[in-house]
Amino acid sequence: MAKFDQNDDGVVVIVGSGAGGGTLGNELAQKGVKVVILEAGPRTEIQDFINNEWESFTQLAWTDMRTTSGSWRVARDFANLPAWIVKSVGGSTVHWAGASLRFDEHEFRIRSTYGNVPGANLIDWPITLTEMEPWYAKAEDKMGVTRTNNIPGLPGNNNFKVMEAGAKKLGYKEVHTGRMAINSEPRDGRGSCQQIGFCFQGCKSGAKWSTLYTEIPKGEATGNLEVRPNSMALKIEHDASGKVTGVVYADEAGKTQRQKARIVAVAGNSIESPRLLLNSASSMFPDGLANSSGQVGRNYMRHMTGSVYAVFDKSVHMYRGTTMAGIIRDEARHDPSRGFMGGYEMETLSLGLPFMAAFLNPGAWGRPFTAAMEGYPRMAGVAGRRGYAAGDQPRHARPESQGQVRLAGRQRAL
Amino acid sequence: MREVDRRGKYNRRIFLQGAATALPAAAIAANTGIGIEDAWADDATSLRPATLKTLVKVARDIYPHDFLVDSYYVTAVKPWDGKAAKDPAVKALLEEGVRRLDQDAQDRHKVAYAQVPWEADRVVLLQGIEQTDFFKKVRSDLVVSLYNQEELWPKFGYEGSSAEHGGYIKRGFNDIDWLPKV
Repeated sequence: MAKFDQNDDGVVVIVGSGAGGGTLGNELAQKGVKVVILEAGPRTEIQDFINNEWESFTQLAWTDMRTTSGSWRVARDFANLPAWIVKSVGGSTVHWAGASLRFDEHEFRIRSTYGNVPGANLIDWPITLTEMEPWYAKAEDKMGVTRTNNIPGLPGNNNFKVMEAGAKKLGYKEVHTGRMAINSEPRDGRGSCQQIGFCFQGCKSGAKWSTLYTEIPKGEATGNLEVRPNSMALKIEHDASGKVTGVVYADEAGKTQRQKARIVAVAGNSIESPRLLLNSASSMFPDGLANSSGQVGRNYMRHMTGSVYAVFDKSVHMYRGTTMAGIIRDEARHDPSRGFMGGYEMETLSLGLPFMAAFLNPGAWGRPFTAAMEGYPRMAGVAGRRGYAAGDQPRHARPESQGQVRLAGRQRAL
Repeated sequence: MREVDRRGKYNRRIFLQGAATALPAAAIAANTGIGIEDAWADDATSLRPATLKTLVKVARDIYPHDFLVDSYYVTAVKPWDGKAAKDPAVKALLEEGVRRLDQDAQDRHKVAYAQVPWEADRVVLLQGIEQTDFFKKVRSDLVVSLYNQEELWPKFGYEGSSAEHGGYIKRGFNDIDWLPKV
């Protein structure tokens, strides 16, 4: 296993070990480039994953204090937990559902397609779907996405079968078990899905793609990749010419360390990446790094999801099997005649009993709530999801109606 | 379709020390919902026993499930005693919260909260304190401490941990048998 000296300024330092950081680390290592990945979280491996929602949450989730505000419901129900992301080697690829959809063509140019949406901050991507297609294809092959690369779709579980029956009855045509980065047959040294049903708690069969047990071990095997867990990046430093020189980070004991670097890649997910760039402000870059646009820390993008659970007359046991291998794509098109911009997918979704109690209707209590909970074995669940919602976040509206995520609490002094 | 045995593995186990001698085994096995003896509350180190007993009543009124015996609510509430022992602010919050609830009950029904006979009347009293820190803290703790008890899960048809059983691939992940043919 590689171990690079902190004063080795020939290494590439990557902040974050998830989808971006883990993959980049491996790709560089395969080409003979020396890489140090700094991961804020611990190294929790497959055998450590827990099939228990709350215990797993405590083990994997980023629970450092945050605050949020605005009129979105999360600010009322979970003011200190506005985002559920992973703080562990592998990042959010540990707990993601595996759903692997390509952007639609119009989603690369939403400013041109949607026009001027009041209160939204829209822009066209500087690239097109056509340019991205070869890269999507590489990623799908790397991850083993079902319905690509001759990989069969996953079998439908009970929850999917309920959604499928309803969808077909309504006349929907594009209904299937999704394009999932979950092996439906053994592939790439990993087994096939055992329908464990705890996808969001780390896949204990390894069938679901995660950098933790794919990219990272492959990179480490070259001898060119070192992953340092429990290493919280604090600041990126640069020299008088403005070129990065290294990353200051806090180690497991909380002691400040400095790793020199020839290049720094920031891959810390949507909240920690802007935080690091802004915290790296200097006299030369008073607004933080990579921020001549002033947009770093703005335009927070997330999945907008509305989930619904229906109670049927007979049992469904929706928790049996994959949490999200089921999709209806008929409504994904952009069709402003429906009264909104863009489209949405409908995907199967399930929660275990403990999370159902906490999230079915946060704050609810009494018989109306418990009557619903008693329907649990007869529930089937569906989530309507927007691919991304950056453009819909109000930008200059009244402060109280803006959705914001704020990092609060004690900041490490430098 | 494979159904889940609602009785679970633990219907004959008594969780609380002291309760085994107080109740006939048949009543527990039959899950008739007889209240567990209060001996457990007398072991409290920080909160008043009456406060703990009232909290159990409050817990059931917040999340009423008629098929759950008191022991599940007791298990959910018991840890408050330990928390109160560690933190005087928690102790004060709970004692004062219960005191106020009992006062509201006395004013309206001339008895303490736990003695108000109709659930509907007790719920009205809880609605009266719904915005208080006491209620919010108790409820948000309860949603985890009650529903995260493994012994309770089979009663809701939930099977819990799955990987050690080989997942559901051979245990009915797609065995639904009542849907119309698509």
